[in-house]
Amino acid sequence: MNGFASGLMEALLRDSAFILPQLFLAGLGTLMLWPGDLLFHKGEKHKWAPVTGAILIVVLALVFRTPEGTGFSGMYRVDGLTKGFQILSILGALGAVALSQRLLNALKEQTVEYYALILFSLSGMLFLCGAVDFVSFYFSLELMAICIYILVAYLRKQERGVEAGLKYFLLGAFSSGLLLYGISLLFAATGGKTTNFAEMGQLLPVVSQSNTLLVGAGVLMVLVGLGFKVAAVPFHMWSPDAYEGAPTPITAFMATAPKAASLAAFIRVFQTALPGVADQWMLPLGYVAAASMILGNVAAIKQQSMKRLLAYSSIAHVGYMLLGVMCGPEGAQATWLYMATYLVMNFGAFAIVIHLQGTGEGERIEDFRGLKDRHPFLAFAMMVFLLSLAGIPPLVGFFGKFYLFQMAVTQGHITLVTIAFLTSVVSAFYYLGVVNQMYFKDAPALAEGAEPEATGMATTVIVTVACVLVLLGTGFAKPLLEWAGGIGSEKKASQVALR
Amino acid sequence: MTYAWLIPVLPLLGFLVNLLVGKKVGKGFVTAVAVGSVTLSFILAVRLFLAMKGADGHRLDLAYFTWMQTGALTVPFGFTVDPLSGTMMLVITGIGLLIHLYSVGYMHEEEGYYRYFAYLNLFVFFMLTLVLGDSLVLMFVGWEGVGLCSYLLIGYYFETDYAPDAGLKAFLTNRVGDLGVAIGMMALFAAFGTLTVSGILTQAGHLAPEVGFGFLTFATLMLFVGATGKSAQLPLYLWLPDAMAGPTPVSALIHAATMVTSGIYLICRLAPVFQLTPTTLTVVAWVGGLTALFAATIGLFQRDIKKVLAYSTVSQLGFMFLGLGATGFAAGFFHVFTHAWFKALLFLGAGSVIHALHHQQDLFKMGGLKSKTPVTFWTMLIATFAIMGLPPFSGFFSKDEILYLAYLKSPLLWVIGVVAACCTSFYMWRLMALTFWGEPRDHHAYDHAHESPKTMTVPLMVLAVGSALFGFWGVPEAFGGHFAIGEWLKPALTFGQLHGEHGHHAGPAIALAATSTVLGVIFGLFGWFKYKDGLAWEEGFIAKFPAVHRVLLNKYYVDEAVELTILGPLRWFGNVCWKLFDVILIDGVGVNLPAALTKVAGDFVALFQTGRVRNYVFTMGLGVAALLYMLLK
Amino acid sequence: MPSPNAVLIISFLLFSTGVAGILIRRNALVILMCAELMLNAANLNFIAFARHSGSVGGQAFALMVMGFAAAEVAVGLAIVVALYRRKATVQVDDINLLKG
Repeated sequence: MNGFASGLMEALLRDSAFILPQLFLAGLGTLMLWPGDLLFHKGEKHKWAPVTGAILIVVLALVFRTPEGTGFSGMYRVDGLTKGFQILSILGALGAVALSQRLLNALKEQTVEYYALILFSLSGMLFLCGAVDFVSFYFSLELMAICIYILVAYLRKQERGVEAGLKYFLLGAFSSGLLLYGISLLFAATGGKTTNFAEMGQLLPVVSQSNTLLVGAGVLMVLVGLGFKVAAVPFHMWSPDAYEGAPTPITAFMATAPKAASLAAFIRVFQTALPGVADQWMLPLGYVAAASMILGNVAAIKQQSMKRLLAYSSIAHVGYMLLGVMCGPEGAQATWLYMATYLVMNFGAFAIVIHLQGTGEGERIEDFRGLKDRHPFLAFAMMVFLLSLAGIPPLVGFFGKFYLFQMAVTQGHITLVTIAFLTSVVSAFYYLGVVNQMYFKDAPALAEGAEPEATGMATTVIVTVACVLVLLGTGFAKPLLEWAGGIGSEKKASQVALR
Repeated sequence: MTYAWLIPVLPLLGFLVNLLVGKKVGKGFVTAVAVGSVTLSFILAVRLFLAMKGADGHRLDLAYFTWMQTGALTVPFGFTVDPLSGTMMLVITGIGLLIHLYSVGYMHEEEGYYRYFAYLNLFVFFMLTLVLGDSLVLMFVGWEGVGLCSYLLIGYYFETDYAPDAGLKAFLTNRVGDLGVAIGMMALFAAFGTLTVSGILTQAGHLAPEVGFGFLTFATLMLFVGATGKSAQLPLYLWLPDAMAGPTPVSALIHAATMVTSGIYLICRLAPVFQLTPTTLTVVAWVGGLTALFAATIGLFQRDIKKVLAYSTVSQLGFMFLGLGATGFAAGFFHVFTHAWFKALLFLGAGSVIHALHHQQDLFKMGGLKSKTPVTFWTMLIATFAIMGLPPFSGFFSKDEILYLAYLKSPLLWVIGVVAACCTSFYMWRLMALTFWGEPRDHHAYDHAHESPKTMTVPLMVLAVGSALFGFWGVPEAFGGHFAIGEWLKPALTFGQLHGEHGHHAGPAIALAATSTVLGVIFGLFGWFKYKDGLAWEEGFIAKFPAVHRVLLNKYYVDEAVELTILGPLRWFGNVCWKLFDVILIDGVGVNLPAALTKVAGDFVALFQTGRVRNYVFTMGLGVAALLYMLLK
Repeated sequence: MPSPNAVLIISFLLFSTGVAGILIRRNALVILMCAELMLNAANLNFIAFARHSGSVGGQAFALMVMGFAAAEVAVGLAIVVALYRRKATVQVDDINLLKG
């Protein structure tokens, strides 16, 4: 027994190098709650944002320095895929923290737990990116989700916030039940032998005939659970409501960071654990992807609320990204790239929405009327982001789409790519609708003597950086693709790592 | 040639500078930046053109860096300068410069002066990217970019109700076309494994022409769909007349001289591939011919001076496609070239008239301006000679070449072309007579009319010289020339491969040309004669043939027909999914899109997104059940 | 030792009960309980098959799931309480401000 304990200790110490960023996040998050909350009194609570930002930047650096390899009895793995999506998640959190200042300063009470929750949920995402076993996978997914439930309902005195939180929570609990049951069926199909992705990947294709139903149903429920997390149709119902009701920085956060992590898990599960039974999930996943593209884009057309529009647009973008999931290992880099471009343009757009919300506008699309006169730069940047979301070249959004679609064509998903093309045509319609409001409609008269509010530092920086990236990003396609190349080699590596 | 990249980048810098600081600094600075950047770009373009002319095989490949590289796909970032793109480059920067100058005078009272010039510069940048790009990806960047600028500039007068909608309509119709280009691009990639123009053309040279409907036919047809969007052909032409809501110089540059010809340019660029697909070429020829006739007849009785010119542009673009379809790539492009000069001139002249009459665009309220605006009158007269195909003005040679090739393809196409040309002569002389001859019909406007300032008339004169003389670049063999432009473009159009040449037989060529010219002159004289004294004849015509007139004036009721036959039943009987599909189709025709689409989308979403958790769970459950069914089936 | 396949049937019944409850009940608290039923159905599978194959992994998984479930319920109840404070109801049909 002593030998076992010391062996365990040794293994933990050895493997902790892989999860240093998470340990750092969870540790500092806890310290922030106590005794950190004594550090700044209420009047100084705005100092938490830079502190959290600094923590996130350190974590980003740590991720880059994390050694590659598998640890914790084959439960957690660090490779190109892990790191690539971890970086996106961290950037998403960083953006959310930077944009949260004004919202939180307006509250009376201490707000340190808001930042701590972001850190905890981020640590869940980082685990999720590297989870290669259903145990660690489910554990990280829940860690991530539970923190976000609270964040969505964070403004507990607003009815909408609480409603959004409750809806998200109830549906989340439902989907998590489906997911876990699916995992248990897969586990049963292997004869109760393993929950490890790679081992499952070998066992599942050769299960006995009587168990094929188990496999099929299991695969399906896992698909449903993951589809819920990334808000793919028809498991997307929570997302427009949650996006609209949540505090806007959290909306921006939800649209990017957890999505990146869940996509990483999506790729990992379907390309490592279930590639052998691809005939069971390829078709359903294709339908889910197509439905997401169609419904997301069509539903966005009639939206009056900017946040709901971005929610539906996000559903549509997930549809495109699922194409990448279907494309095998090479699809992983295309998905990553698409997610990276989506993150940048999405945060740019949200930064503008959040800034306008501070002055009581920005919630509705009408509020963007005549923005070019009030905020010429913001209007221009918003146009750039929206056009990029619509996939107009030469903005990065086009680059991401082009690369992904080209990949899907070479893999033979012609029908889906055609749908993707068609729906992206439709998408131009509602994005341009907003541009029309900003550029071609007169502004509502400002109150006498009222000046449009100056943009804060965080907003200016985020909008400027995002705008430059969106405008020039395509020029750096080659180095980006070379870097992303490490993500695609995931499958082979994981098979080598089999014990 | 290290300076070549500056040619597109200079206007881009102009755009950025004017957009960022234009509002604060004065109009003088804005002018200096905008016109200066295009001037420099033009000078460099001339240098580059001369360098290309001196180069081996008339071709310069300027590769800058590898843009994307992964697995099977390598996309370099570079420019190709050859006779085709070089000529286009000169047209864009040259006519672009003239139109910038003209705009200084035309737009001088506008508040959004800086915005206007910023967009115009951006347009030049994208247009040059489209023309010079050495890969389909880069060309596509320019292709979408010019559409965007067009959208921004059409919507420029946003105070009006219709301009922003017209911009949106143009953009969305173009998106439908762009979809074709994107699919065509993917198909070419699938067929050739590369997206560089030279790579595709090299491989295309080794292939035999496709019989019937093969994969390449599909690819080229898709590209042609894109071309019909950008170049306003049937059935995607509806946006161009609406696009006249933009400022007149924009109509001249974007919707007459350059952007709308990019569809033709695309086909010329890929001429060796299109050579392999005779089916596509036949389609191109017929669509072009029918568009030419269709639009020309609509142009007969329009009252808005810019609408006449807009339909005229659609019709002339049809002629160009007719030429391409008759395997006369050089002839089609020749017409692009001459048309750029005389149609830009016509639009700018119309702008000058509108300017003189303080934004009066109605032909019925003009008249007698000959002596008031002499420069405008004389220059527009030259352009009219050119467009009606009077020898030796430029339009004669290019149009004659197209009609001759059309005759070789099918005599019926020739007849269609000649009828369209007769209509052209008629409506042009109607326009001229109503504007410049007769008694002024609006005395107030007439009394205040004045000739435009120098910055507007000088570009008119330069364009007039071009419209008069540039036809001599392509005098056909039948008239003692040797179709120099064809020889000049040959390396670019054939890419070193064999090219199906038509032997020119002087006999029929001269007879055909004489027939069409004489008919054109007769119809032109008829138009002039009937309208030079006022509206009496048209009123008589209306009285005698009210139905014909109404049909033509109302553009064959296409908008209404779509409304009646597609939208009406759709609203009544359509279920959600069927509507959804059809709305995409209607998108292509561009009618009543906002209302229909919003409604359908509303129905669609309201079906699910009720706000109630139980319904959400139920939908998810349905989703699971559907997927399970798929699994067990 | 009973065949684990029998357990599959029981767990499926448990799972179906949970799903049905979520589908038809309106009380947020009951929905929460039904979600717990779904998790427990999965747990049953894990334990039965882990014992069948003799591996500890599945049993450990079940233990951890119980932990997650507790955390989830804690958060869920907090949100339900917050809702009750604002609207004095725990019926999910009463909340539909956000829709469309």
